Amino acid sequence: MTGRSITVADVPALLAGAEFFSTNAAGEGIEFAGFWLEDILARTGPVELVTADELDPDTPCAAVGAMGSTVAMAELPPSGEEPLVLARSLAGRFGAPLGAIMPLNAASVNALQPVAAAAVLGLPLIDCDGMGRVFPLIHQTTYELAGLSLSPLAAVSAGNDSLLLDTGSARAEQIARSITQAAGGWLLCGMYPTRVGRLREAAIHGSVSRTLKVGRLLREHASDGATAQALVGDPPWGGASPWPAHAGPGDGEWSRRGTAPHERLLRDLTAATGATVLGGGRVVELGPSPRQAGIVYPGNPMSMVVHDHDSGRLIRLEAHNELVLALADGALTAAVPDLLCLLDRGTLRMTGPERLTVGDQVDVLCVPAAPVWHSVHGLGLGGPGAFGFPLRHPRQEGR
Amino acid sequence: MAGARIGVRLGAGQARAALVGGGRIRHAVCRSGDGRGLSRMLRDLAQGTPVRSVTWDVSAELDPASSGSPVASVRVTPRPPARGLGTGHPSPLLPALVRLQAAVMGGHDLFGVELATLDIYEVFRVAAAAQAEGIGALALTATGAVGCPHHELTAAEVVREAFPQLRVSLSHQVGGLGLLDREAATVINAALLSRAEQVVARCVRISGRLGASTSAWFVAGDGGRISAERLRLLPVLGLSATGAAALTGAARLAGVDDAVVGLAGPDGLSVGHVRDGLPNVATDRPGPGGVRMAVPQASLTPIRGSHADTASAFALLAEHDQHTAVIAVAGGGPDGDAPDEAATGRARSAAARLPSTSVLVEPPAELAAIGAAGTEPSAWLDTVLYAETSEVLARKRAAAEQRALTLVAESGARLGSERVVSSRALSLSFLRSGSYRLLVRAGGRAEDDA
Repeated sequence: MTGRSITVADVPALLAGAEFFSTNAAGEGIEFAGFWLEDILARTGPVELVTADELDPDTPCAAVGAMGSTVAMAELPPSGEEPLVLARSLAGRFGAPLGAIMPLNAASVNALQPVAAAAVLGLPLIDCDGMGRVFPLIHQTTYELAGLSLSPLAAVSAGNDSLLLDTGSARAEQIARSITQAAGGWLLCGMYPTRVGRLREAAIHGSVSRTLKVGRLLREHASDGATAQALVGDPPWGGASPWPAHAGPGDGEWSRRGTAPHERLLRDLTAATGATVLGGGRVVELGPSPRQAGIVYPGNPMSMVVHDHDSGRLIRLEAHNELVLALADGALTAAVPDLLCLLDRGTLRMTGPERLTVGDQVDVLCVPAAPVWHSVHGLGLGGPGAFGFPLRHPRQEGR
Repeated sequence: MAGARIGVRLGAGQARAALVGGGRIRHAVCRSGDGRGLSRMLRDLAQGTPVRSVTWDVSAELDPASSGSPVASVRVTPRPPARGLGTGHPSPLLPALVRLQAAVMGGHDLFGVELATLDIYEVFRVAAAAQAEGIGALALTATGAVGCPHHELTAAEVVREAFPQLRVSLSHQVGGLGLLDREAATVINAALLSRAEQVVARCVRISGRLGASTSAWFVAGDGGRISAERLRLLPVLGLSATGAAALTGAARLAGVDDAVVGLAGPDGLSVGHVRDGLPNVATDRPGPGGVRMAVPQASLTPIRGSHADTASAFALLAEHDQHTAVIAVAGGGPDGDAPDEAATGRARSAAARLPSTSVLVEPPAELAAIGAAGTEPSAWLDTVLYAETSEVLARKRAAAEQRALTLVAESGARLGSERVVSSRALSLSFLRSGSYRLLVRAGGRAEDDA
């Protein structure tokens, strides 16, 4: 971010932060979106990042985000023209063109899509979002909690199939989800059309900046890690350096400094996000979860167990698209809507069940969700019960 | 020493070779790198011993930046980008190789459903333009081709029929999921076709001079070995093979199938893992020019620093790994006859920090050449499937594993030696329940295994 704009140079940090807030596998394989966004910003120029307060409260705006699979999007990348279709559809309903874009959620690939949309449309991007993380359903938002209507929902596929849905929030989710599957695995959506003035109460403010800030932290530490993506050095037999486009060079001399690189990164991440470290150690179990999935959710439930080196406790993580619960020796210690994140000690990158294998070493972090998510309504929409777990969130204990 | 194997690493106008057989290893160096010199080197190395196979690491000879030819790149998608948004590549290597870039309507989704009809007229027009510009190779990348290659095959047929002199690379034969990475791999593959033809022909010719029963093979970047025919068609598979061969060599010399391996060089260590005799691979590692290619490559972690730094870093990694720690001197000295002193010092320093169960390997020949001699057939599959129940998943997974085993058999594995090394069914987020990505790795013992 240069001043108040997002430039090509910010994309690697945005990508790293997007992986962090994806809370697991939703961040798997989104590097393609970094290259894609860099190319778009190189052609369109920077995107202006503004706070809601900086805009006229009457400015028409809408949330932009993709629904569906990042793997499908990596295989079928957006053409870059999709936001034009969304803007046309929504402007028709507003009776006026959109004046700004806000992210559905500033995490995973949806941290990048609104930036691309703002770039292609030449509009400012509002520094906020409606989740502060990734939720599986597009109506699990603070916009919804504040009473904004999800519809009319404009959606467009990579094949340029487009639709405008006028219905209730949950119904819009169900219909759009089934279309997503038929449309190639993902849809870009424009939703929650509103006026900027409504965002004061409805949005989580500063989300884009936070994603960038955490991404920068991860990038700085990545140059300190003992990994191919974090260390530069020619292999013993000579030849080209295996340097990835999205990583910077490092000195690789961490062993002198006394603290393991993952410990330094954890310290900085907890300071930056208010996270707590639930534990860390070897992944000792990983596979499909025996529990039944609620039919409303896409994907399949998974579970994994981490053996915490220090305490000897077993930390069981239940995942369903995202990491949903953490239980230490059977006791619930963290749950949605708080974010559960896994740090790969080897690569110093955020990771998830799809990337991991038994034997890998990870740290488990819990980042507190935005306060609105801990309200009764917030927990009803995004707490353990919404994912089919008949459990009270740890913060509800004693209420 | 009945029935030996030879491994050769070509690079920088030199060749370093190792003969492995009968529990002994001999080494040789050819400083000229010309055909006659190489033949003499192999003959001298064999010393009359029957040689069953010569396996070549030619990755240094397949540098796309210096020896790649211009390519026409055709992307098949349901909606070609009107303004070219998001079509650029951050590595300068790709724009340098692509002289003509085009998009054509077509493609399938992950599960093989057609998203748009293939525009064969546009395919024809682009191929004609490529030929008119004097381009010799065309890279075809269709969305969804990993699940359904129909549009790539149809487009290739159109091109080959109308422009038989244009060579075609098809993305589904080259890499796995992820259009941009696979497209990059397909472009690099197409750019290397001519060069690979020359290199392969030369190696096969030289190997053949050892006798009619000596077969020629090539080390792949995943640590397996592939035939001459396969490398001619898919030269991208032969890239970054040296590290994979060195890992294989280290494990073989240490006498273990599973290990965490530190390859010591003069400036640092490269750390990798070997499982069931094959190097651990990843598809998101940067290849030539930093380009990610959706092609499996041995996963290596370079660690720089002083001997003490790298020794303590490796000791920490080894402490947390359940498998045997192996530290090996990688890379020969400048004269090729003796191991590099700095690398040897680094390896010994690292070994001194390890427990007694670890193994220090000081190879009597170049490690990558020894590893090349020991490579075995392997196969890798990356696909998506849909299974409503765990029974259906098990059945489809078994079918995919069988396909991988068949590929291993086709790569010269001894009948019955084929095995599944790893098989993972990963639940795909945000797609309908029952959607999985399947990653299968298989290996086998070669027919010429002594």
